[in-house]
Amino acid sequence: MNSALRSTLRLLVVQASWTYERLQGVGVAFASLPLLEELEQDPERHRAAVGRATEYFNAHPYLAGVAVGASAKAELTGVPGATVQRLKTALAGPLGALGDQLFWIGAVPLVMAVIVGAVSLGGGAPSVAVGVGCYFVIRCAVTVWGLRLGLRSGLGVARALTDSGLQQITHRVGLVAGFAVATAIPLAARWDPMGLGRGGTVALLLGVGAGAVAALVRQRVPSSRWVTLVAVGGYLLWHWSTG
Amino acid sequence: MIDSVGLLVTLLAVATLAGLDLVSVVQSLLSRPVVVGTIAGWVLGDIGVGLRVGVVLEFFALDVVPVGSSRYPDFGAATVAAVLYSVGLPDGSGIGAAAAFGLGWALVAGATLPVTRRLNARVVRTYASRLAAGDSRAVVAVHWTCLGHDAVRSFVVAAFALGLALLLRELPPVPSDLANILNVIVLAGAGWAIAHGAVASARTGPRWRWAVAGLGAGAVVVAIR
Amino acid sequence: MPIVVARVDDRLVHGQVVIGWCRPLKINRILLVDDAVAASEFEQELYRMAVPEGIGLDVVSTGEAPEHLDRLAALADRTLVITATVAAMIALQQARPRLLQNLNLGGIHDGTDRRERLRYIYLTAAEAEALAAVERTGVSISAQDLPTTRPVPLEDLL
Repeated sequence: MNSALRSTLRLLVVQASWTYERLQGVGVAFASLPLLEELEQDPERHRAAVGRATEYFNAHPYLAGVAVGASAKAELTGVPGATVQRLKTALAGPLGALGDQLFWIGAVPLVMAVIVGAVSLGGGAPSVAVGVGCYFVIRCAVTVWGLRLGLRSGLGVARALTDSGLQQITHRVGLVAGFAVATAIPLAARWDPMGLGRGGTVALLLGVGAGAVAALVRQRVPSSRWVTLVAVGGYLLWHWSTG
Repeated sequence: MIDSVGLLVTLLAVATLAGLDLVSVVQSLLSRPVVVGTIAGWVLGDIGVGLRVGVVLEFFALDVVPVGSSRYPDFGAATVAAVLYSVGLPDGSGIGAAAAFGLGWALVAGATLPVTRRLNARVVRTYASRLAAGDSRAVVAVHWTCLGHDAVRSFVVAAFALGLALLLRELPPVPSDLANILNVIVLAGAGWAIAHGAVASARTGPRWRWAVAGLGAGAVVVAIR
Repeated sequence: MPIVVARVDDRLVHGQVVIGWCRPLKINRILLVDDAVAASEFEQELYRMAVPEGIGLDVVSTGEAPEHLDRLAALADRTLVITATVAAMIALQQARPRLLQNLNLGGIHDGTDRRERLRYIYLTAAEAEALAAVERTGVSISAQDLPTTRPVPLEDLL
């Protein structure tokens, strides 16, 4: 197995050693090891590079490979250690911000909303399987692409990322995600997952209205999870206390 | 049929993998309620219930943004347990109760994440000087040990969730009038969740128009069907 | 109130800042104050990438920062000021005390001689003391990673 492939596989578990002090630091080193093996003839340089790789780092997990690739390329081409450290620090912010927008509030809600919509229209388990399959392919492809981009461009990674059009894609995915989540609401309301008939639709839409108003009026709203659990618990208490 | 050991072992494996998917392994969609709920329903021979419980919990999951080191719930094992609880109950009657149970367990499970992170930190501190010295074997050892922490966490969370669901199944079923009221409360809560999530992410200008357009498109589809 | 947030975060512009703070608070300008970034082309290019459409990013050195802050204060923009270190933020606050009356500690991580105060705040003894001294001049200082979480007042971190 070549070193880039081994590094890619390791990137799939990059967050397994997450801590509050170093965040993805150790995971990044773990994924970098196959790429840094080339330096092993010079043990001192190798150790210095591995040591730097373990330091504090955080990005979106799917895009961490961009930093792994770029810093490995920098280490292999003899860039000074301090510059490698600054490269990683500077990469962390954008890779985190872009990845969070592109995936956590972009592609994930988009795909989930499409699945919920398809299920509501009677698509059943096959629509879940198709959605999950598509997402899985994209998720893996992004990691492969990111590592290769980093390895190719080293310190020039900023330019390479800008030219890749990732920012524009991110913006568009966000818009489509907003559209898809909103579309899923009436579809799911009609589907009536609880089998309550008209009452279920009304309950869901009342909840939607209350949630939207609460979110619009106040910055810090109690989480929907707590609101629901407190309502359920409160009702059960009342129900049992009145026999 | 739920007494079958093989079935429970399969569910336990699915729930554990969903827990690992959340942070440590691959991070695809296995930890999403509608996905793992459908799988659990399939394993138990009732995909319909899996989809229903999954979609309701998915609404709550869409109100979570796992940004940075903020706290977030873990829906994987919780959804599997909720589906296990509601399979075999009279049609639709237990979905609300099951989802409320799943929601509660998702919060409990989410609270175990900081624990593994503390354990990880302890390992990292033990190895700190070897990591700083660039010892590759230390890097590998730390990483696999920490992955082990999350595997144990996910397994324990899954085992307790399924055990609790089996216990709940032993109780007399929720009377149908009560079950219906729970359905209404949880469904309204799910609506609250998805609306709150949508508004929170639509706070930038252009997204508003897209969200409103989406709402309209969905309403049109409902109307013509 | 043109300077909406003044934040110390060693990750500078990242997801929590962009999604967590800029979106809900309608921030449309970020002022990044950092000597190393101001001197490095590729780092600036990277941080520019992290900033979504509709938000401007100004990168200045600590020396240029006070005057730049004056110019921003005259605009209608809603600005978020960010530094990587406590020292840089305190220097800026001392230079323009009227413009920076609230400081937000958003993320200061592992390093030598740092002690954990919160999961995302690790301070040296000297930094803690310096922050306390600034607070005694009437500035409010708290730690808060996201607007949706409860702010933790400085006194609870000391």
